[in-house]
Amino acid sequence: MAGLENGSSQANAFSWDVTQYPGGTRVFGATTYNQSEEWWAVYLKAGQTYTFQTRLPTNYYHYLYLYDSNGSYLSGNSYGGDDGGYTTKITYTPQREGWYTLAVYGYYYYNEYGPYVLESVPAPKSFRTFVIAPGRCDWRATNAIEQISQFNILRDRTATQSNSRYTINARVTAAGMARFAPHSGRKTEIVSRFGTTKAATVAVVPSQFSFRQPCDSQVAARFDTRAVTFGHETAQFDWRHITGLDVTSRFDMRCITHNVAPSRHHAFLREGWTIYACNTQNNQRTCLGFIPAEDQLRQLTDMPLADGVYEIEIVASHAFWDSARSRQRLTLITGETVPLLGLPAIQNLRRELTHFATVIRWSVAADAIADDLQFGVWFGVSSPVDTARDPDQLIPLFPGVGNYQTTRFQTVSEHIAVAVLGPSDRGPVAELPLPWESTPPDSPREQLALP
Amino acid sequence: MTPSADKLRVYYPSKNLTSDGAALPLWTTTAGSELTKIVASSLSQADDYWAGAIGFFEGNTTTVALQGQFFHVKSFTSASRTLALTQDLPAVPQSGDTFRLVLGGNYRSSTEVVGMLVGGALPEFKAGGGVAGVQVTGVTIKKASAFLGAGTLTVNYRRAQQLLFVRMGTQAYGVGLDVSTNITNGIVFAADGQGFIQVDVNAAQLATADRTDTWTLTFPERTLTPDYEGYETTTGNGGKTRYRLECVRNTDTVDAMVDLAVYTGRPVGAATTIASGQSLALLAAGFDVADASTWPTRSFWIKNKTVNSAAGDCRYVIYRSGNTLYCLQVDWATLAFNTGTSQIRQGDTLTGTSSGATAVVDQVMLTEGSWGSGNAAGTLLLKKVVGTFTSSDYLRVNTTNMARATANSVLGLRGYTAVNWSSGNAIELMSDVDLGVNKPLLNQYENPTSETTAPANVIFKDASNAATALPMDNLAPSRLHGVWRREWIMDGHQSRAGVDADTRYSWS
Repeated sequence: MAGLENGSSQANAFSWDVTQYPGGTRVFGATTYNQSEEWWAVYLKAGQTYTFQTRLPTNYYHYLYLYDSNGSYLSGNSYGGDDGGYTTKITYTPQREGWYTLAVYGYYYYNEYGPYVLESVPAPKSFRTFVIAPGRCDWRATNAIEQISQFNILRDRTATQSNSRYTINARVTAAGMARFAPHSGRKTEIVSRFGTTKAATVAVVPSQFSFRQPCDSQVAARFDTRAVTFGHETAQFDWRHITGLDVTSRFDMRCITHNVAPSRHHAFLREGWTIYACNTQNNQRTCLGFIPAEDQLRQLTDMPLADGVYEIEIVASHAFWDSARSRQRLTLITGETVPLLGLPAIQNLRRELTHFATVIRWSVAADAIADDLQFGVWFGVSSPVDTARDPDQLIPLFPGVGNYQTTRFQTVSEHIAVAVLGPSDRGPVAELPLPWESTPPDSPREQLALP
Repeated sequence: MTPSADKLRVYYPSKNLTSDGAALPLWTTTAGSELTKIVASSLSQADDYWAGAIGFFEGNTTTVALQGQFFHVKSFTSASRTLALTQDLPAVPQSGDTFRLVLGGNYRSSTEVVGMLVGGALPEFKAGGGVAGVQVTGVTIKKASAFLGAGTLTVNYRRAQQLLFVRMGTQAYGVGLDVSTNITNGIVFAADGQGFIQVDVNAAQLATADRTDTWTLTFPERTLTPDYEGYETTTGNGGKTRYRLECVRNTDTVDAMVDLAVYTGRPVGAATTIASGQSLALLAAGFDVADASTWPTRSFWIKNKTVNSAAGDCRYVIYRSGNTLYCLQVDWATLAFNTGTSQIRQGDTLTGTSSGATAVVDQVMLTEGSWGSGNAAGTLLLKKVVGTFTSSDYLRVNTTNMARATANSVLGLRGYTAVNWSSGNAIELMSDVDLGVNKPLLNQYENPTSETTAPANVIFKDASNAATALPMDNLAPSRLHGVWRREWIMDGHQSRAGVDADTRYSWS
């Protein structure tokens, strides 16, 4: 509760100290000639039936009254306590949770005053931590402070009372707090363990409390916020965003404080070439391996391949999308040795697309070429190509020349077969599929090759 | 009270430490070093003990160009006491240069993970103990929190109030630090109360009038996670995984960090959906999304948040062309096994005797039993998978049956089960690393044998925002926790600069 907590009035009522008696059900007071009435602030739960009564070491006549937080009278008694005599008793069930005040009235002009025990069964809810140990104080500007311990203030206009461990950087009005660290305008009352760092905050009776931005809360316990917050009567509470809340309990909204461990790095690509073998019969592609650029020999050896005819493709590291593979291909025939029949075999039959035309290239061992030889070239839509008929093209061979080519304008997919023809015989046939599509290959527009 | 942002500190671990908080051993170079080679006769560990380590030269090492320089160890040759590095150093180390090495888990060291570069220099390695300003004299910046981010840091001293303030960019100043007396390791917060700098203050040297200094903050690189090097990205063995630990400590001596959580960075780009009529199976293929214009152009991960009953699935995108994403094949899988009689090792080529499926072993995670007893059981992480291992398959290496599958192999990347994707599925960018938490037992963390061996008992997942952050429970005052990061490198992984794998912590 706000106020001076000296019990002199409803506004300055004592807080109910649950540490005074086991279970927190009793507090001890004394009316005197000079102050024949004493007020106690109690926080009561809705629907809970409370029994308040006085117990007297020395019997004297007095009244016990109960008021709500607005000061409205609720109940009163002048006798009827369990101990008999002049002891008093009130039984009350609050309709709403909140603060109430009990008043013990003696009569000084009849010398009716003295010590008393005020009992509440069950005990009122407790919020407070009491620290009254003045000492160790640092100030930097105008301040009014009472009963504090370990206290730092860096700016002006601060009024605090009954505090312990307290740090303030700007205008603050505070009372009855322990461990309190605001950094700008605040109004707080009866706070325990309280930390703020930003602008205007009003907090009343919180316990264990951390703020970072504008907040308005009352009667909260165990409370963390980071952003604009408005709350009443809360308990065990974490907030992070703009929130409006009344009468809640056990409430978590996660993530308040942040920290980051930087970890930045790059992903690099190894320079070199990946070698693929594509089976010309079924177009199945096998990765044979990678040749690092730093290798002196730049070769792959002992690559196992099943029998067949393969196109060997070489893909540079930076050509990182499929359709950008090198068009330079090597045709490799694996399997049983093909009898040469006295004529040279076709080597490295390969294909290249240039200006919408298919250029087919091949090689022969140049030193094995006689004068009267020529190449026969056949085309067919399916494999194997019929080579029993006359060739579609005849291309002469020249001694000492090992590389040859022909051009064909395709409109459909087909196959080519090439063989060396002699006057009366024919060399081994090499065949190559010539796929044809009118759709251009897709390639990325925004690719960038980084080292 | 909630511990403030400066209370969480992140430290390097190392597998060669013997207790919590021990200093990383200081090594001294000897003759024979080169730009890509460090020779230190005192390094006596076994071959490749330090492979994958990151290291850094001391801030006061004798070769000026090496001061505070980080490096990445490719291999270690015990006989010659030589560390082979992945990239050139800025200068050849001379005899007497000093450096430290970081690798693995085991124990937290006393060395904190560095913060931001301040004016191009790491304050933690700066001669003189930090970065000193020109105008704001008497103040030495010892650390700049990464939460400040990249940008312009302004340090402001107000003489009349004897307060020191900081701000980023055009934001407001934060709460001032009282500098009326000498301060060691003082914390000055920015306006958000989160980002901070750590300073030493010599009150006698403070200016006699208001003063301001500005600094450019940039993220350091390769200080926690080294680069994916080229030699790692095309192994021919189906890729690899790398594992690194960072140790975190609540240095508040009074209060716990409630609901501590961690997540990591990811590429910038808006979420989207798979375009109408588009789909993606598990093979390498391309597909269109509605809008990927803000995404990287290559080498990144994507997550499908719709499939697997919203549990998700992921793919590695080798490149992007407009709104078309080209993904690599899902050829990684997990395979449960039991009756392990012969030890399956990383790198083994595994064959299912019944199924004929083949794969290369990346990780072996034992959950019970032992190889010696012939009852080893657990899960294999496989790569370069061809076919499907079937339940009861004998798992053979060369000609030896090593164990038996207890279920069919399950294709998937980074812990997800791979499924087909279809139009309308929600797609978003994904973090480049996965995280797993490791609360140390008696201050000792898991300690895998190498950077490519997964730490035991650590479960990884992608956590790239607050909603998917990895919970670390409450962290009591002065207590430790740990976060492992797993980097999943696909065979044929492409290059990308500036991978953001920052770890972001939050707590109440």
